[in-house]
Amino acid sequence: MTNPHTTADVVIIGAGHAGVAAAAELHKRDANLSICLISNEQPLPYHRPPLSKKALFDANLPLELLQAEGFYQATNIHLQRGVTVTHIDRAQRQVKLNDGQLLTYTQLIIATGSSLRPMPVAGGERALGVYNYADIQQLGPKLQAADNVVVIGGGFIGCEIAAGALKLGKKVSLLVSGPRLLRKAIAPAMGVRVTQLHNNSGMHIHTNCQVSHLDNDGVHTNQGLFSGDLIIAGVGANPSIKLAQQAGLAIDGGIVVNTFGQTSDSHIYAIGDVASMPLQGKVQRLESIQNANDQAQSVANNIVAHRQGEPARDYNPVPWFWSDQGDLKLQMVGFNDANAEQKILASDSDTRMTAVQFSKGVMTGVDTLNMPGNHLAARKLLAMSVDITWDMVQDHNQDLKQLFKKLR
Amino acid sequence: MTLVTFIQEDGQHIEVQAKQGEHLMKLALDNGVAGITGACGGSCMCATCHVLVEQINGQLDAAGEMEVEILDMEVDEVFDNSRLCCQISASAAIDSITVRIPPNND
Repeated sequence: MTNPHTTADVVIIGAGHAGVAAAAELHKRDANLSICLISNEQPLPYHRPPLSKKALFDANLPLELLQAEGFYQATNIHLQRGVTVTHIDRAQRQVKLNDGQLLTYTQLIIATGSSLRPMPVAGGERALGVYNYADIQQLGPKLQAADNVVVIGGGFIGCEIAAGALKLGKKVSLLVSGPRLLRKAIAPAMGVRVTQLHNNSGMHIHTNCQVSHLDNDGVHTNQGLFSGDLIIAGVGANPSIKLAQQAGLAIDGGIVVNTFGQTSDSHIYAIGDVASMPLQGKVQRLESIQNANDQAQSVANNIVAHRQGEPARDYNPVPWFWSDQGDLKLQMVGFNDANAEQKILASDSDTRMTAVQFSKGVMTGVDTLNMPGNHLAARKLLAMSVDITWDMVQDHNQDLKQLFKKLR
Repeated sequence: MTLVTFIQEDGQHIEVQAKQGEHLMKLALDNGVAGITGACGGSCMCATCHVLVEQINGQLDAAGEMEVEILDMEVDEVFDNSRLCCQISASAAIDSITVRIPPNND
C-alpha cells in the first residue's frame, strides 16, 4: 500500500511523557476521540528519569513503561512506533510520515521533546550522552567495562551519572565549568553542600574547568588532560523544533504557545520541553516531568473543551523537579529568582537540607536535599493562595510540613 | 517467584506471579490494576501507588525514611500497613503478599 491516508481527531507527534499524558487525558475526557500517537522510538513509551538515575547502572532493570501495552489496544489511541514525521502541512491539516503515510488532523499536538546538545568543541562527538533507551543500551555495557570514567557537565544529568558510576566502584572525574555543582539550578548553599558531599564520597570534582577539545588522548582542559576509558557528557538538551520551524510556527527559544498551549496556528498545540510559554512575565521553557504531564493535561482538557464549545483554561504551573545522585535526593519547587533572599532551615544532619527562597518577603521556591516531606509540603504551600513569609515558617519550628498541616 | 494479590477498590482480586526484583507498582501497571498510577515511575516522589498490606507470607523490609515522609505528606489517611508499592519488590524472602488499593488513590 502506498501513501495510506487516515484521519484522526487528534494527532500527537512524540510519545514521551508529554505526548503519552496528553493521549491518556484526551481518552479519559472523551473516549470517542480518535487519537494517533507517533513515536520515533521502537520501545513502548517509557519513563525517562530512571534512565540516568537507575537503568544506566543496572542492565537487568526493565524499562518502566508509561502505560502497559494493553492500554493502547484498549483505547482509541493508535500508537505508531519507529516512525518519524517529516512534514506538517498546515493548510491541509496533514502530517506526513517517513513511511509515506498521510495523517489528517483536526487538532495537532507537537510533543517532540529535546535532543542532546552536542559538546561545542572539536572532538565533542567523542563524549557519549544519555537521552533515550538506545543511549542506555549503548552506554551501559561500556560503563560496566570501564575503570576510569570522565564526566563532563555539573548539571543534574552529569551529577547523576557521576554519582551512579561512583557507586559501581569506578574512578570518576567530574569536570564542571562553574565554581560548584548545579550552579544555575539550586540554591547556592545547597550547591556547595552537594559538591562537598560528592567530594567526600570519593568523586573527583574539578570546578572552573573549561574543556578546549577532545581527542584520542582524552579531554583537554585549562587544568590539563583528563584521560578515561569512557567519556560521558551531560551538557544539556535543545528543544526539537525543526518541524515547527519548517511549518512556519512562531519560535522563541522553543515553539511559542499561549496560556492555553496553542501555537501561532490555533489548530496546533505544543507541550513539554518544546513549548515556550508566558511565565512570570517572560517567555520560557520548562524541561521537566512535571511540566510535561501538567501541560499535557491542560492542553488535552482545552482541546476537549474546544470541541464541546466550552472555554479554555490557562495553564498555571507550580514547577517542580527532582534528581537522584547516589544517596542524595534533590527536589526543587518554584521559579528560580536570582535576586531572592535564601534561608536555610534547621536540619538534623549534613545530608539533609532545606533552602527556602523569598522574593520580596514571600516564599517563591524551595530546594530540599533528602527531605521529601518538606518538598511535598512546599509544593502544596506554593499552590495555595496564601503568601508564606519567613515569620510563618519560623513560627512552625522551621518545618514546612507543620506549616502546611496548620494552613490546610 | 512471589504471588502478589491486588485487591481493587471494587473488590476484584488480581493475582500475579512476580519475578525476583520486580516492584509492585510496575506489576500493578502492567496488569491494569485500577487505582495505581505510579506518576513518578517508581522514584519515590509521589504517593500515587499507595497500598495497604493486608497479608504477607515472608519477610518485608520496613518502609524507609523517605517513604514514611511521603506517606505522611501525601496521603490523607495513613495506616500502620500503608506502603508505597513502588518500594516493595518481589523477593525470595516473600512467598506471597496481598495488598489492598485504598479509595481515591489518584
